[in-house]
Amino acid sequence: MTPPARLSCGVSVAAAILFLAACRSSDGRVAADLAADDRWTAVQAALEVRRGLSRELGSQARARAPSEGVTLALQDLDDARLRTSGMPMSRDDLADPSKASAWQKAQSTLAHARRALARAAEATELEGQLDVADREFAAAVARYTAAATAYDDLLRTAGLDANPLTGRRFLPRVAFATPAGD
Amino acid sequence: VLATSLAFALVVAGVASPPGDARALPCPTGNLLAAAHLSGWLDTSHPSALLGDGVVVPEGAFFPSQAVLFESDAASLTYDLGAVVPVRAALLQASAGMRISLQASGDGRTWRPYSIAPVPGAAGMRTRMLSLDDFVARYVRVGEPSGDGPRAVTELQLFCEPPSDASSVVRVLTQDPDPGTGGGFLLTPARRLWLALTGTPWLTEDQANVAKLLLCLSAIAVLTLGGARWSRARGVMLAAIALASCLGYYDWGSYHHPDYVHEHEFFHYFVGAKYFRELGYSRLYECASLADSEEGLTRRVELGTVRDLSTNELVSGGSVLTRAQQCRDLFSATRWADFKHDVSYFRDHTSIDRWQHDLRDHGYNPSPVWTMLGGALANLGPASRGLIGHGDSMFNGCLALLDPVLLLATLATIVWAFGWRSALVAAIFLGCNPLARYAWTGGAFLRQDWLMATVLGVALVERDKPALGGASLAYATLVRLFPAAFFVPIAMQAALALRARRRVERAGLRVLTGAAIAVAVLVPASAVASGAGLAAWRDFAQNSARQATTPSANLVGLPALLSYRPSTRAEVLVEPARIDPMATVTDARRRNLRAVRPLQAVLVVAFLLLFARAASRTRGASEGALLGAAAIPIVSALSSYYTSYLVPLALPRDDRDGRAIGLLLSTAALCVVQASCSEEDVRCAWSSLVVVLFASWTVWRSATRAVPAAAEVGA
Repeated sequence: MTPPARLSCGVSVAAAILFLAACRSSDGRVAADLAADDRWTAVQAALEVRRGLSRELGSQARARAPSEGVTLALQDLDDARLRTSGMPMSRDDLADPSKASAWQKAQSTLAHARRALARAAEATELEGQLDVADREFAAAVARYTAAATAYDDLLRTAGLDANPLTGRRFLPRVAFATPAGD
Repeated sequence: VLATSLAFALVVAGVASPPGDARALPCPTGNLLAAAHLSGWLDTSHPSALLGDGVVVPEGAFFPSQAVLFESDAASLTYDLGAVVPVRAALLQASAGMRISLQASGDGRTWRPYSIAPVPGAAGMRTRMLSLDDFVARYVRVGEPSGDGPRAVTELQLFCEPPSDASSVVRVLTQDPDPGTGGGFLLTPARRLWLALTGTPWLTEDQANVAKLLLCLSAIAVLTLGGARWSRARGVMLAAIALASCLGYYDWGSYHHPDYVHEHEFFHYFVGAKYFRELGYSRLYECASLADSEEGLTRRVELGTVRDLSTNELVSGGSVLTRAQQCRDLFSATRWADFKHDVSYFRDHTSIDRWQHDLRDHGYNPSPVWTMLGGALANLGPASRGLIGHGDSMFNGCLALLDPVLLLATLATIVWAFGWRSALVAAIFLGCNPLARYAWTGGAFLRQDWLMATVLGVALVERDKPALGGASLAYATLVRLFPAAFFVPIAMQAALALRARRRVERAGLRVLTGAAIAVAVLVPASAVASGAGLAAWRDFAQNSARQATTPSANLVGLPALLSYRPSTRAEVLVEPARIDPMATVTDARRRNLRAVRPLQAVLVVAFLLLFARAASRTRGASEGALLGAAAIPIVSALSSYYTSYLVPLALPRDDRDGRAIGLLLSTAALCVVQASCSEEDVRCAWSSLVVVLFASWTVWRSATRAVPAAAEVGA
């Protein structure tokens, strides 16, 4: 084998190794991104359960004899629900610290308003269900945060900045500092 | 530069009614948004903090990395200022061509809009210093843009005490610190190479079309040139062209630039089939709109337009939402949650523009038989990347892999019944036909089952299994209706034979018997599976009739050709300002067709006479069935992506090369039309001419050939 041929072979092998290494690195980020997506889906499912209980709680409270405490708590709950409905979290929004923080705060306010109404309306059974739903929601957010952190760690260490599957830039994910909903 | 631009200060008057005397309210100093918190948003991308970071770009420049992008007409950011305060000035740097709304509210529920006009004659980002009179608010919303150019805002500051020198509150960037952001795509080395060679990062439709035209012409040259001794070499060359064409169907890996999955198709067919019991044919869009609304996208729905599937007309999103409240009653709580999940999956995997366009299409239209099969598959699980697929590979999901398998099976069936040569020609046609290119139904969900069933039907008849062939053709008919045309020549043959020889053709009779049995099984089964009984078929008939009377830009066939006039093409008559911009075009096409009804009737009758003569001269049920494809573009106008039905016309064993050359010449002509016409309706009118001529030519060829010996008829 002539020196130029040997050089070409060496360069080709090195390029192949680098390519494979890059692919492995990218695959790790893609997998972590998908895993975080799955976790976020679980958060949304937990939110859906809480929304269902909220509707049920609102119906029960409205069906009771009106009292000032219940009326005020209902108003607070409606306000809190209005706030959260104005905060749809898309994939892009999960990369925005301001939005993530505002969303988390609004969810927390909503949880407080819900509990206050459950107490005022003496909906003991629903209060128990809400507690469970809040804990499951908090756990889902914590699992998402763990997945988002793992994904962000990979982004920090990997050298490529384009998702090989889509050609789009990998977006970082904001990690929620504490479980929302308390 | 900034100081000069601020000379364009616009004075806007008349805003929100103050909840009290503005002079009595506290007047904080500095930028009010610095202490405010974000309390709502919709359809914006890039970090919202960019809006209040005090950084602007040079006047006329556009640094995407520094801008918050507003991605729909309803896109907005809402701030809570913490208390009701008077706002006397605003500094805004935004796209020059964009009109944007600044809204004030005291309670976060009712809003007073306040329009900020574009900067006439300017481009890029422009800074505007606004003096606000009587603007008192606790909540401030910016967004709901309209106008030309990018919908981007780089800076917004609100003041109770306006700064004496506006340039003192901003810092001007000299260059984009992150030019890769906001461009949408970052390019892989292969894409960069393609960009350097061709000027575009992706294989464009035009480039792919030229390549397909060359493939067709090469195939024609291979079929026409060379003598018998080059037969083997010709076969090898044809196989190579067919392979390249098969890959060409997928635009050689470019797919949907770059995604493999066709989300729009999947949304309709997956969600439509899975929730058919609740949605039927008329509620897909209104229930999806309600699901959007419940996810916090009410404003987006209200400001958009949605097609009312019960009338096929575009209406305002607000009116649809009012009617959609009944949707929740149609679902159980669990099914509604599943529906919302599936809708949000497709919404989140689609751009905002595209999603709004999805809800303006023509709904879910497959028959109850397709719904039975599609619904069973869609109910395998919730919409997910694993079930559906994602990214730029066809192997990332189960359901999106079905159509490539069906296409391969179609070609394998042709090999089995009609030989390699016919399969290679069919592969070249399917890969290169621009009317049925990947962009239409590629990466979708079970969209090629009718083609597979049709080809399998004629193949089974060819291989002397007429009853099974009839059953397969019946399935194709029950899912797409138009394959019924394949029975017409068989029925004609049977009638002619009965008249001439007083006996029934056995093969033809067995085809029709097999079809009847399939119908007798599939119709009741699908009625039961639909949950609505035979009412599902009644609804299907009504829905199909409604669709048939709605002209569309991508229809191909004699009616589409006869209804076309250059003076009524979409480019001339489209009215973007109307709720339904295409309404005038649609009406004009209907009028045009009505004016030539007598001509259409004469042409159809003449064709059917020729068709009957051709049917009497074909050998047996197999060749008769193949001829059926020619009737489809004469009596109907179908969406262009169904023109794969022409494949059987090239399959008859005798005159194989002549018909193959005819089909490939037509495909080449379609590629030329595709390259020459940029408007969809013009392109489809010319394509209709090509398809009608080819179909008529094949019938003429069959009608004028020598009459086969009596013993061969019906063999």
